[in-house]
Amino acid sequence: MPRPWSSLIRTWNFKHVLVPQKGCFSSISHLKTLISVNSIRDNVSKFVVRSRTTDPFLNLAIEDHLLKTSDPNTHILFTYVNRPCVVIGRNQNPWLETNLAALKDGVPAATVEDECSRQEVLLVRRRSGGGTVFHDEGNLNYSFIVPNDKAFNRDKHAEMVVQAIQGMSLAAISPHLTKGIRVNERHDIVMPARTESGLALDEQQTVKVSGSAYKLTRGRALHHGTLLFSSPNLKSIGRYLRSPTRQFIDAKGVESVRSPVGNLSFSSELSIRTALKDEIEKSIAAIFEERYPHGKANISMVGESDIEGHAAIHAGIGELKSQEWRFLQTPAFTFTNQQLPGESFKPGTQPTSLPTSTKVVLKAKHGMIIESHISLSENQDVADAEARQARAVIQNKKLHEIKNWQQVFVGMDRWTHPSTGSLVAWLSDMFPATPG
Amino acid sequence: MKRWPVRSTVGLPHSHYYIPRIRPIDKSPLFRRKFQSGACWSAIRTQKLGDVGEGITECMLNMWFVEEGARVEEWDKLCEMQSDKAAVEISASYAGVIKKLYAQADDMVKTGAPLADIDDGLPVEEGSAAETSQEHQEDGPSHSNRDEKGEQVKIEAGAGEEGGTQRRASAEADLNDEMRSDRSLLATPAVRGLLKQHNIDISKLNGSGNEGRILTEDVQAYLENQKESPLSSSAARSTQAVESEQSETIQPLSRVQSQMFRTMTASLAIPHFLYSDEVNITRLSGLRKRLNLSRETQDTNISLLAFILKAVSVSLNQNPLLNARLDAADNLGKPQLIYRRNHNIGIAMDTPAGLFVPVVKNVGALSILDIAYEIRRLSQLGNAKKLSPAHLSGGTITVSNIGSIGGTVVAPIITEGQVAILGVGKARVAPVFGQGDLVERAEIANFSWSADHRIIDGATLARMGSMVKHFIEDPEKLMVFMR
Repeated sequence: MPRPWSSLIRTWNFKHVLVPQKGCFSSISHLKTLISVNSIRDNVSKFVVRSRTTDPFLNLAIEDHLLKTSDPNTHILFTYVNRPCVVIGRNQNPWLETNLAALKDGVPAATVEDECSRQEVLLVRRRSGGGTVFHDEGNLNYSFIVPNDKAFNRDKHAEMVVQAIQGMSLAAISPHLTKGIRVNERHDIVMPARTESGLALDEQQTVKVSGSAYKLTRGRALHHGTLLFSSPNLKSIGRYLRSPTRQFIDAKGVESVRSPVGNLSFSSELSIRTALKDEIEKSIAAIFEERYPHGKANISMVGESDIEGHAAIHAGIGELKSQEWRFLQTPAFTFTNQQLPGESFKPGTQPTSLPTSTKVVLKAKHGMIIESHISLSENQDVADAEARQARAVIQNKKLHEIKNWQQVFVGMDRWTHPSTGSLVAWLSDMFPATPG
Repeated sequence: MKRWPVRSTVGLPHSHYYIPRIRPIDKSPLFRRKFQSGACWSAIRTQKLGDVGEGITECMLNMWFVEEGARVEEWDKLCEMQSDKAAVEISASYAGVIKKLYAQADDMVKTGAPLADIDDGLPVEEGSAAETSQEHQEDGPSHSNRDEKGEQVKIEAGAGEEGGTQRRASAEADLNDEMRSDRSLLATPAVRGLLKQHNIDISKLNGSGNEGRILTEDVQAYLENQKESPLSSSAARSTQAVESEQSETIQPLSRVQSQMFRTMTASLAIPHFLYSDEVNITRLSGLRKRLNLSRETQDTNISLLAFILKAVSVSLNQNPLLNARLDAADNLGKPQLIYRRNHNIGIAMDTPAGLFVPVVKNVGALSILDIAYEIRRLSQLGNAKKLSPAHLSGGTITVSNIGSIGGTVVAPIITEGQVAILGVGKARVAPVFGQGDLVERAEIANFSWSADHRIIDGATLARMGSMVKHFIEDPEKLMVFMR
């Protein structure tokens, strides 16, 4: 009788999964084996997974799937690199944290030929907490998925990464590049600021090289972080992460704590950057293998071809890509150009093209406008009429679905103020059309 | 069901409140014995937000995974909270139906504030319930219940004795004490179940968790102690009367000891076999004495160990397998041998700080005098506690001269990353049969080899051992082969 290729087994959370038997080899089975088999029985409880894809949605979906379905006694290290994207935290506000218009323009290309193929910078909302970061091919993401027990603490893996960096050949050859690198009290990895030529500035001034975020579930803990090893877009990061609406939005949820960032070791040669990335991955994997028990780690790669037909991961990708997840998971916020009575939030200065009588207040919950007052006129009655008309159009509309503010104001006969055009332009700047 | 005024739950440590039905609570024994009715109390448990860690006092609620009226099992996902960098999933502490959600998405919830009410639908006995609520009120201020899951109070209806008010009062007082001690020992419901299963009194255990919390490990340790004690108690009974008490002082392992603990535990995986031989070092001993008297070696004595190291190195040229390393499982899971060209021989050294094994690098390229210098340098560093990891790493085979302290045959333990080790016993004077069957005086030392039987077989090691023995017994032969 032929040996079955796979058999049905019951996993720790009582789900039944198909598990490939010995002698059957396929890459999809590898991912399933990784997460479904009772790994301790097979005497392997450490896994190092490297991603071959740069699709941020796919990488985050795989990471989430590993967190949700892995055996509770396993330790997993998952490393991946994303194509240029801005990743906001679980309950952050995309309008507040990023410059959505700048995202559409894409990353400045290195050569003129590449200008034509500029891809837009994606907007991604991850499932863990923390602030907003910019990812590109010069940024390595590491993700540790371990049991959520007494041995876990928020600094442990950041320290492992610092140890890995200091154990690299880079540290041996150019010790000034990695001298002073350490974990700070916010669980970030910082190093002393350096000048262009690599000379160290004042020891007290540090730049952030890596930031961390966590997702803790019952029994499992996920700690993932970025690592700016060699990003060519360091100077553009500020542009993407500085939103023009910042001074006008009063939001609940986690606000990003801004810090100056720096590369570990920048090189203009792509091959050197790739080699550096490989070395960092190997170094982190080596420290990971050393620190956690039960012998050698099972090393594997995962890419797009491996997850074909994997329903759970595709569902995860779908959710991460959806507008609902990216925009409607935004906590309640208020957009206002004037200080509201009873509120302590002081907005910034509106453009000079707008009259001082302008009043724009938008209250949004779950990404939907629940209350609004938009008016230009000094005359109270006219202002109320204007506001009523505008409200009728935008009330209960999803903010990200308003593609064209010009369209919103079409046909509003009460809006006779000459600065209406400026107001439309300003609103279009504040809330640009989102892709998709 | 009519709702009567609920007894106040303010200041009570527990998270229950009861919806009582009207009933005259008559405590006369006759009444209690005869009065029966169906369940009338329904326990609603309030789950509070526990400590999320990192000194965080409040979190924002991201989303609920359940809604009012939904049925949850214990450990089902309840909601996701967000605090700065961490998104934390909160699991349900009780099984039952969600009756009320205290917060909405985007609300800030403080640690210790209620999150949700869960009706577990379990009926509670009338009599005990009345006492329970009374107990709650009495015991109210004496507890700080910071256990996120709350605690199930097991009321033994042991106060069901007939008797006067006095007895009842004392029974209640006993109950009070039991519950007070019961509750002051923190343990999760799972651990309490385990205790009940094994019939262990919770007050007998010492908790090793947060704030004296009792964990499953404590229960298991207690059970193991229980298993041992029947044997030891019988043994104790049979021993003589006056015996001094065993006193124990606990001392953590020093750094060197813990390193030794780690390396030796790793070496446990290697299957050792021992090969021991007697070596006649009379001629070598004589040669050493003459050399050490001559001018060239004024500043350092050439020790026996230097000769042994060179002999081992020259023998390794003919037996390279003993200088190899076994890689038990590479990426493909197959074991492989890694042959190494340089002979880096580690010498076990007893320093004031403990056992160290510094390595003499590339012995094959050193002369015996060089080796002697190197040994002296390393032992000086060892005595000064200045040995660095660079000195201690890179060894391919080890020689342990334990004979300098004592011992004849030893069974040395192979270091991880090597496949063989040689232990040299103490030289002793013994009679041997020499030429023409004449008894003569000789100095004999035992050379004890241990090797990894996964790749070294007896014959290979015997060949190596014999070769080293020949080089030591006839140093002239060493001269012929050394480079």
